[in-house]
Amino acid sequence: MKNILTLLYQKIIRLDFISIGFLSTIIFFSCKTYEIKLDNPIDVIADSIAGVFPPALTMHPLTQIVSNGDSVTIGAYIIDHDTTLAGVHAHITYNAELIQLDTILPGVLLTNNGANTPLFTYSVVFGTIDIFAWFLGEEGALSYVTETGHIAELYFTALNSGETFVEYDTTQCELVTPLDEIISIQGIRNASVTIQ
Amino acid sequence: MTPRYKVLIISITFFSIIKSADYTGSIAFIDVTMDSASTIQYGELFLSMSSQLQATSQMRVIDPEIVLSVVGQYTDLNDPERRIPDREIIISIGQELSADYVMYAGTKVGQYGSMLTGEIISTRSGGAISTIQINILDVINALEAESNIASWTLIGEDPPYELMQPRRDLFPKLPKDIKEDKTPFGALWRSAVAPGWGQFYSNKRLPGFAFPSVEAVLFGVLFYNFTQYSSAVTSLQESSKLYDKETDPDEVLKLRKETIGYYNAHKSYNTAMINNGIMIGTVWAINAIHAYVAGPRPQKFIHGPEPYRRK
Repeated sequence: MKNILTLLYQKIIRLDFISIGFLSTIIFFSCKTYEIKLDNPIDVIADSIAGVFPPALTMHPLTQIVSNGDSVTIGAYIIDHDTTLAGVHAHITYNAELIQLDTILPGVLLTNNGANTPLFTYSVVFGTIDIFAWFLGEEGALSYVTETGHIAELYFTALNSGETFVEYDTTQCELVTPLDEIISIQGIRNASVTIQ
Repeated sequence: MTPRYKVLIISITFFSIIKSADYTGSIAFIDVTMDSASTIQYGELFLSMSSQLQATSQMRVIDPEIVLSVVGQYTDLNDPERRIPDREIIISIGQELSADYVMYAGTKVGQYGSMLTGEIISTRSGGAISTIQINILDVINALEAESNIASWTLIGEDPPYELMQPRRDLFPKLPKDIKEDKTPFGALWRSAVAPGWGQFYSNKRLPGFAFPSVEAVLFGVLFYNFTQYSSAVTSLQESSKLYDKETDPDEVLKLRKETIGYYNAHKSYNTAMINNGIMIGTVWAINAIHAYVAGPRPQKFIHGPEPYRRK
């Protein structure tokens, strides 16, 4: 009887090994799952997850890697201000030894997709940009926008290798209503540019 | 004396096939060495077996007269010294009779004396279902011993072991002594390679069809899940790239929702594939275990209990 049980046990163990080996192979070779990182700075949900709450000033894209001599384009955006916005003053800093500003164009939020011409001006001092924009609209001086949108497009050229941040200076940035009331900025997201 | 042993050997072999209860279909009894005396005895045996089979309704015995007419085409039944034809010829006879199995018995003079051989062969696979061989000398010795054993029984004493020995030697009782082409391990490895193969090997047709059918359905579901998974992954990667590049606030939110949808879909299809794989593996393992457990194996006490404890 003992021999029979021993034999049976050995058979079961052998079958166990076969089964476990087979199942392990299946699980090992099963398809993998992908992780996603939804972090578009124009996405108010992604910004909230990142701890940046509206109204916020952000830049798109958040990171980019370029080579020497390449052009670098960065968009400046206002996120979910949820009130009447008429004027913007954006004070932006960057490392002028690494990138050189070529030009700045007004964003579609202020131009209303080319339908209007905003009051748009900027000044550049070594590594510092001040953008002043005023939405004129069709109604005149009291026109405003209420939605998330594109303020300006900044065009740079990469000069030297290194990493630089293109940053808003919150102490000097301002958002105002048609009645010149200040809209409080709750968060910012800056861009980083790596030049190889 | 030979026909009596043939009856004996056929009865035992037939008993074993009925007890195994795995075989269904029709069977032809072919006795290629029968003489005029044995014809009568075989006729009685066929009648007896036919009545048993009617009770089980598992095996249909082909009319012995029809069998004889076909056998007569292959061998001269009037030749008293005719020999057992080759195995292939016996299978051909069975196929011509449209029998699923053929059983034949005959005598061959070999190195160890006259050997009576009874064998049941599948006409489709050509494999032996059951084989038994008896040395006639053992039978004679056993019969002599039986009379002595009877004497000891009459006086109420246990017979000596030496007398019991010929009784045991009459039939091979240990499984290793019983010739059997098919083994449980043979069924196991076949089913481990391909579900159902071992079951067909063991003549268990229902599970032989059932296991591969279940596996086929599961593989079909796995293939469906895989195509859905691949589609979701492709869409996820495209949607994710578009989301990163998009600068229109409304489109960004729309792409976010789409990307999350594809992400959830690819994860759920991946989980479904893993569960599917586990199910396939489990059914595969059950199929292999079933093949082993239900596989053909020599029966230990097919010829009765051990007459005496071995020393």
